[in-house]
Amino acid sequence: MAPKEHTVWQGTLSLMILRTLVTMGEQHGYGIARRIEQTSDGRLSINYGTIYPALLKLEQEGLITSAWGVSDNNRKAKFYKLTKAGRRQIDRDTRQWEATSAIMTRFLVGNEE
Amino acid sequence: MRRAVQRALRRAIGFLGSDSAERDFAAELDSHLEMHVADNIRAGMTPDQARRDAAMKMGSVAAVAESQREQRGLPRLESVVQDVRYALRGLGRRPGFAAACIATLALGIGINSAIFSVVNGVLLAPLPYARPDRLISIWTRHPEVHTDLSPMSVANALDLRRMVTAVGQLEALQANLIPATLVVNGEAVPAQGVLMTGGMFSLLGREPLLGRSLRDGDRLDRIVLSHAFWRRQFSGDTSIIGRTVGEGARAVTIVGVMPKEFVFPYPSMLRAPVSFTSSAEVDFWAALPDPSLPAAAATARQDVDRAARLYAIVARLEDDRNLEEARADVAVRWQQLAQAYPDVNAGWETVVVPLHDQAAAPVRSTMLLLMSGVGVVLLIACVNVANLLLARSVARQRELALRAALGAGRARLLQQTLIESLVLSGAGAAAGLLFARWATPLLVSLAPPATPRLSEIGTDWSVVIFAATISVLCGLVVGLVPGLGASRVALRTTIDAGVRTASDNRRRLRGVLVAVEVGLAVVLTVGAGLLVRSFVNVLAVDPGFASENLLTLGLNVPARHDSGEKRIEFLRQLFARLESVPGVVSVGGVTRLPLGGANSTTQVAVEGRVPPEGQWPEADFRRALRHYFETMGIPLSRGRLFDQRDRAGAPAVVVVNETFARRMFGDEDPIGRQIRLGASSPVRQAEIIGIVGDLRHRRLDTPPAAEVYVHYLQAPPVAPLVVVRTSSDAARLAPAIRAAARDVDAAPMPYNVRTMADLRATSMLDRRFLMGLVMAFGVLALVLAAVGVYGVMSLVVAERRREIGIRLALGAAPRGLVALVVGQALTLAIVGGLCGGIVAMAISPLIASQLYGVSATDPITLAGVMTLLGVVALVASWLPARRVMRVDAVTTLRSD
Repeated sequence: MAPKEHTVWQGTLSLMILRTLVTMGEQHGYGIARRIEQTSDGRLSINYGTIYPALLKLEQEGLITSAWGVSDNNRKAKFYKLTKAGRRQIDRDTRQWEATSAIMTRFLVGNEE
Repeated sequence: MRRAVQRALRRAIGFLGSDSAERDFAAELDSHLEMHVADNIRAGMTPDQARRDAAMKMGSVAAVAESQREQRGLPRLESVVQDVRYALRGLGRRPGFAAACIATLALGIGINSAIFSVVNGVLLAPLPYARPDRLISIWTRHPEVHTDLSPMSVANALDLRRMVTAVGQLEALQANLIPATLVVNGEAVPAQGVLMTGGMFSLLGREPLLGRSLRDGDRLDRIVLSHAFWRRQFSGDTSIIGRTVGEGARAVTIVGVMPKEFVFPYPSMLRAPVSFTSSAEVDFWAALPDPSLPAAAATARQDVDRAARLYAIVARLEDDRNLEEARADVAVRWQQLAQAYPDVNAGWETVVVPLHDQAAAPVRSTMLLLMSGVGVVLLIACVNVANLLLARSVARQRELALRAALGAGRARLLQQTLIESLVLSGAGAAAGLLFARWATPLLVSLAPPATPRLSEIGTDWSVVIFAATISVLCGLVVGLVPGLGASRVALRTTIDAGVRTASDNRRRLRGVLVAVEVGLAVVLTVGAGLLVRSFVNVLAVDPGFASENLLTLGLNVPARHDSGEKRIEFLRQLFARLESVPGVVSVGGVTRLPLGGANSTTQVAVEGRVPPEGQWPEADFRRALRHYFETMGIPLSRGRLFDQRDRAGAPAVVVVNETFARRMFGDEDPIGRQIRLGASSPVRQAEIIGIVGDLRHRRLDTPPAAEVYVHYLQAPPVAPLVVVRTSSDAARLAPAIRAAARDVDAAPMPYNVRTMADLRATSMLDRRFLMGLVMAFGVLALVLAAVGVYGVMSLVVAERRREIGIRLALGAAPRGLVALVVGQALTLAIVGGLCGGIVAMAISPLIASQLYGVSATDPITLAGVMTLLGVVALVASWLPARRVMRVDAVTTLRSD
C-alpha cells in the first residue's frame, strides 16, 4: 500500500456511499466507487468490489433502493437511490461522526486547558 | 433494533430466492467492469490494459461474490451442511473415537432423560384433573400447638365455602381413609373409602367410567368404586351399577365406577403427609351428606364440634383471582371465624397451597437431588468428551492451520468444530433416548410403590425436548472448549514445525478439565457416601419394638356386630383362636401400626390446666387390644399396662408413652393424673395408669411423637390391626394364622397380612431408592473420572515421548519419570478434589433433609471420598505412566 493512501475505516464506507448518493442522486455502483475516489483526491484507495457488500447491507436495512436502468453511455446498470430512512440516517451518522472526530481531535491535539 | 429485524427479514427472503439474486449480482459486476473498461479506454489505455486495470481495481471477484452470498442469505446454511457432511466423514474415518464420544454422551443424556421422565411424571406434569393449575388446597396451622398442616372441621369448611369469594367451588374430604367392609357375593371384603362433599368430582372435572359420579344431596350409602377394586372384586362386571351390596343399615348402593387412571386423593393430600412410603389405596368414594340438612344426623356431631379437625379442603380459584388474592381472602374470612368461635379457632391460621405442590411435596427433595446427581454425571461425561475432542484437535492442528492459511476465518473454524461436536451430541441424544426408554420403566419398577403419580410416568414429548435441549447444550460446551483453543492457531509455526505436541495453552486447559472432572466426581461421591451412611444409621435405629417374628394383619369386625359388647365378644373369640395356633407366642392389636403408613391424632389436655379448646396440643391416638405392648415388645417404664379390669363401666384409663409424659408433665409424675381427650376420641376423660417406651411410628428416621393409648374393652374398634408374636419365622406361620382367623364366626378376610420386618423394610424403600441411585451415579462418576485421567495421562506420555527419550538418554531413571507423570496427575486430582470438596460443602443444604445421623459436612465421609478419589487417580495415571519404562531412547530420538 502506498504511504500516501489511506484505508477506509470500518463503517465509514456506508456513510460515504450515502453522502455520495445525496450529491449525485441516483447512481450505479461503479459511479459511486469512482466518485468516492475522486472526492478524496485519490488519497483514498478502495477495491471497487468492496462497495457491493456495503450496498447490499444498506439496501437490506432499507436505507437505499435499487433498480436496473440505463447509464449515460447507454449501458445497462443497476442504480441505487436514497430512501427517506436513508436521508434521516445520514443526519444521524453525520452528527455522530462529527462528535467522534471532535473527540479524537482533542485527544490528538492534546487537552488545551 | 428495527433495522436489524428488517435486515434479518430480507436475508430470510433473499435466502429463498438465491438463484436469481446470484444472476442479478453477476450482471451488476459485468456492467461495472464494462463501464470501467470503457472509461479506461477513453482515458487512453489499450483494451488489454483497460481490462487488467479494471479487474485489479475490482479486487477479488470471488471474494466479493462470496461475501455478497453470505450476506444475502441466512447464516451460512450451505457451509453448515458442508460442515455436517465433513464431520460425518471425519467421524466415519475414526469409528473408535466416534463411538467413545457418542457412548459417553449417550450414557449422560440417557440417564438424564430417564430421571427427567420420572421427575416430569411425579413432579412437573399437571395433575390429571380439569384445569389443575387453578386448584388449591386449604389447611390450618397453629404456630405453637400444631405446626404441621392440619385439616379443619367440616363446620369451618362449610362456613369458608359460604364466605370466601376468591374461590369458585370449595369441597371437603375427610383427611383419613375410612376402613369399611363391603359384602360382595356373600363375602365380607375389607375396603378403604374416602368420605367427601358431593361436589368433589365435579370440582375435579372427572367423569366416571360407568354409571354416575357423586353429587350434592347424595346419601352416605351411595358409593362410587375405584377401577382396581371393581376389577378385583367384581371382575369388571358392568351390571353392578345400581346394585345394592350388604344388608340392613350397612347396605350401600354402587352408583358408578371411576376410570383406571383416576387417583384421588394422592396420599400427600391426606392428613399427616409424612412420606411417600405410606400407601393409601382408595377402594370407594362416598358423599358426605350436607350437614345443614336435618337428615344428616350421622355427621351432626361434627357439625357442632368445630374442634374436630378432620377435613382437607380442595377449591378452585376464580378465573380472575390469583393465589395471593385467595390467600388474603381466606385469611380475612378465617379471622372472622376465629372471632366468631374463639374457643376452637383462635390462634390458628390458614395455609393455602396449590394442589399440585401439595401432591408433589413428599418427593420434591428426592427428585431435585436425583436431577442434580445426574446433572453432575452429565457434566463429567461432557468433560470427558471435551478432553477427547481436545486431544483430537491437537492431532488436527496442522489441518486447521492449513485451512486458516487458505483463508478460513476464526469464526468459520469455530463453526466447524462446533458442528462436529453437535453431530456427536445429537447422535448421543438419539442413543440416549433409546437408553431412557429402556431405563425409565426400570426406574419405575425400582421406585417405592407408594410414590405419588408413579403410574403417570412415561416417555413423552417433553422428555424428547428435554433430551434435545441438553444435547445441544452438551454439544456447545464440548465443542467450545477445544474449539476456542483450536481457532487460535499460530499459523506459520504450526505448519513449519510439524509439531505433534499440544501448546502450553492447551496443556493448561487439559489440566483444568481433569481437575474439574475429579472435583465433580468428589461432589457426587460425597453425596452418595452421606446417603449410604444415613441408610446404615437408619438401619441401626431402634424402632422401640422388636420387629422380628412378628406378623401383622388387618381384620375388620363384621358389620353385624353392631354394638360395643358384640365387637368385644367377637374379638375375644378371635384372640382365643389365634393364641391356640401352634407357634404363636402372644397376640395383640392396635388401631394404627407403627411404620404402617397411617396415623390418627387427638387433642389432649391435662385436667386442672385445660387451655381453650383450640389450643389443646395433639397426640397420636391408638386403641390397644389384648396383649399389644407385650406382643410388640414395647417396654413398660412406669405404672401398669391395661388388663381385664379396664372394661366398659370401669373408670376410663389410658397408657401414654414417655414423650407424652415428658411433654405434658415435665418433671411431674403422670401416673394417676386425669387427662382430657379431644372430639375424635371415644374416651373424653381418663386416668393415666402407665407409661410405655417411645416407638418410631411414622418412619424410622422421624423422632417419636407423643402417644396416648386407650383400652379396647373401653373403646372397641371396628377395624383393628392384629399383631401376632411367633416363636419362629412369622412369614411361615402366616397361612395358619390366616386360616385360624377365618374360623371365627364367619370373620371377614384378613387383609394386609405382612411381617413387621417387611413393613420395616418397606418404610425404608424411598431411602433405599435414593441411596441406590445416587450410589450408582457416584460409581459412574468415578469410572468416568478414572477414564478421563487415564486418557489424558496416556496422551501426556505419548506427547512427551521425545522429551522422555532425551531424559533417558541423559541418564534419568525410568522410575523417576514414572513418578513425574503420576505426580502431575495427582497434583491435578488433589486440586480438583479440594475444589470439589469445597463445592460439596457449599451445596450441602441440598442434601441435608435426606440425611440421618450424619452431618451434611461430615469430615469422615469427605476424607474417605478424597482418599478414594486419590487412589483412583493414582491407578488411572500409573497405568499409562508405566509406558515410560518401555520408551526406547534410541528409536524415539531417531523417529522424529
